[in-house]
Amino acid sequence: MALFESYERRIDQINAVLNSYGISSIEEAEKITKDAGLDVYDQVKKIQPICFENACWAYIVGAAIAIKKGAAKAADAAAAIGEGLQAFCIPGSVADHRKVGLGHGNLGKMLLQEETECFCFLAGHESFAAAEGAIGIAEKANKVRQKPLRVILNGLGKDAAQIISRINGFTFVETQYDYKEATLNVVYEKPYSDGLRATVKCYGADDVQEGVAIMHHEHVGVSITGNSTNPTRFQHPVAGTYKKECVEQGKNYFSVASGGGTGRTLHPDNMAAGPASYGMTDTMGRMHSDAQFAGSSSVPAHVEMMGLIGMGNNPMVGATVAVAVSVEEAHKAGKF
Amino acid sequence: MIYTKEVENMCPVAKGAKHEPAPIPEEGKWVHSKKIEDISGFTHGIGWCAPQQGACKLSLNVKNGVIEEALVETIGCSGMTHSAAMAAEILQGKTILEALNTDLVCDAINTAMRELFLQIVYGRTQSAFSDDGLAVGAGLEDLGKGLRSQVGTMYATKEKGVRYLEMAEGYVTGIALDADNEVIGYQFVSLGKMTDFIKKGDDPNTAWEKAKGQYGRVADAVKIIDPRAE
Repeated sequence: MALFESYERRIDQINAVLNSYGISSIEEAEKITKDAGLDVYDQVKKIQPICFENACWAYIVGAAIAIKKGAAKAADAAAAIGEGLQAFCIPGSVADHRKVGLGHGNLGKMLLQEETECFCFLAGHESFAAAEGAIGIAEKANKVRQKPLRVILNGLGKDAAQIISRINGFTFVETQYDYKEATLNVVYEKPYSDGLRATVKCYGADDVQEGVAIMHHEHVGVSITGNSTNPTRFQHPVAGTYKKECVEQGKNYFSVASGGGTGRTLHPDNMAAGPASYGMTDTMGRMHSDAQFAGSSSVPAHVEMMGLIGMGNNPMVGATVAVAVSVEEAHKAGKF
Repeated sequence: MIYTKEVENMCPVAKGAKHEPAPIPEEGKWVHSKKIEDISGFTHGIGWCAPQQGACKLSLNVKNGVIEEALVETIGCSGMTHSAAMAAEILQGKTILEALNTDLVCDAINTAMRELFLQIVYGRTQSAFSDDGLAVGAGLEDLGKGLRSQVGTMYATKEKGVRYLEMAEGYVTGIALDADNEVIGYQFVSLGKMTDFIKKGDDPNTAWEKAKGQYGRVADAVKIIDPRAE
């Protein structure tokens, strides 16, 4: 039996990447990680027990590259891990086209860097539970960060923002956008709990302009767009506009296009006609994002079908951060 | 084919435009679709009836033009549940073109079929980027554990405020209120899970307890009310 799923469609380019780092085979890559005291296979399996074999091996390849590069910092290790993930993308697949592997590595790098202050879940406020993934990811990154990563929710609709804050115990921030002066005014903040969840600030915007102003106000360094509600009306226009303004101001902003609209489906425009109008969120994501996910946030088989690896996108972010942290720890312990 | 005299008398003008249609993304490939058998994919269509009192969500898994899998979900009208039963038997095995001109026994289901047809022939499917499409059986994933439709039922009056009755997680048994009398969470029983427990031999009270769950800040509640009785 092959070492992992679709071995023959992947192994040539994996070997090519490994060889470019002076590693002769995937077995040697495993030995490099083991010699550094890492059990990457086990680590990845524990994060998502139903992940595919190829997910575990992709992280082994990534960790071996990180070690070969002498990555002393978790952030640098994360970027190297992305190269390992990218090597697993099936040529010609959507994962390959979108460079999802490199995107995952770079997202992990951004989350681990101290310069990134704020992680924003840029969504349509469509579900009570939509932000849970973002909160979990931030908690993982905070394990190695000096300053904890702030998490905010920025979505269309002030009423929905308030109700979500109330139900989940977040802090609701009432804002008012002055359209004449183009300034954002914070009217009041109301924490709906006194626990850790109250550190999550939840904003409701009336439109794209206010949404962009919220991004500036919070110095958002990384954002992930949410699922299918309002993507063409809010999330993607906000991310794209903020991206442009960050470029103008020389600020660092890493935009991730995720969610059902861009991940697995072709979220149509509202006309549902004409060949040029398919995949509006796919197209918009390509216009502004630094990383565009493909497949499901959780189901391994859906991500595998996109040509990446068999692991949900959210656990994958967790795995990138976790493996990158152990590479840093192994370096600190003088293992490589 | 017959040509009229006028056409016969015309001199020919060559057609220079010879491009294929724009390809549509299907199951990880870009396909220049020309015939119904060129259409494959898993997608949904939503339909409604003339008086707009009921709605249908139709999910079909189509391979080479043929419906291999059908999921018919209806809401709002009792008669259409029986129509759905008939439609589910009728749909599988037909091509999507046949399904258009087959009575699916309900306005809403016929409309859902039309909308689904448009989605799929324009290449707007769930499986556009999925290598080889979704396995037959993927329709059940939409239902989740216990194989029940995702239904939301909420009711509200200006006088007495909002009541959550049914959430994706289950039958809502209580809504949690804070000191301002605003909703901060809810308790529910997953009817699918509860029924499975009973089928496996649990007594109903045990099954009820095991299938309970909650969401939000129920622990902080000042008061929990029964949304159906209070």
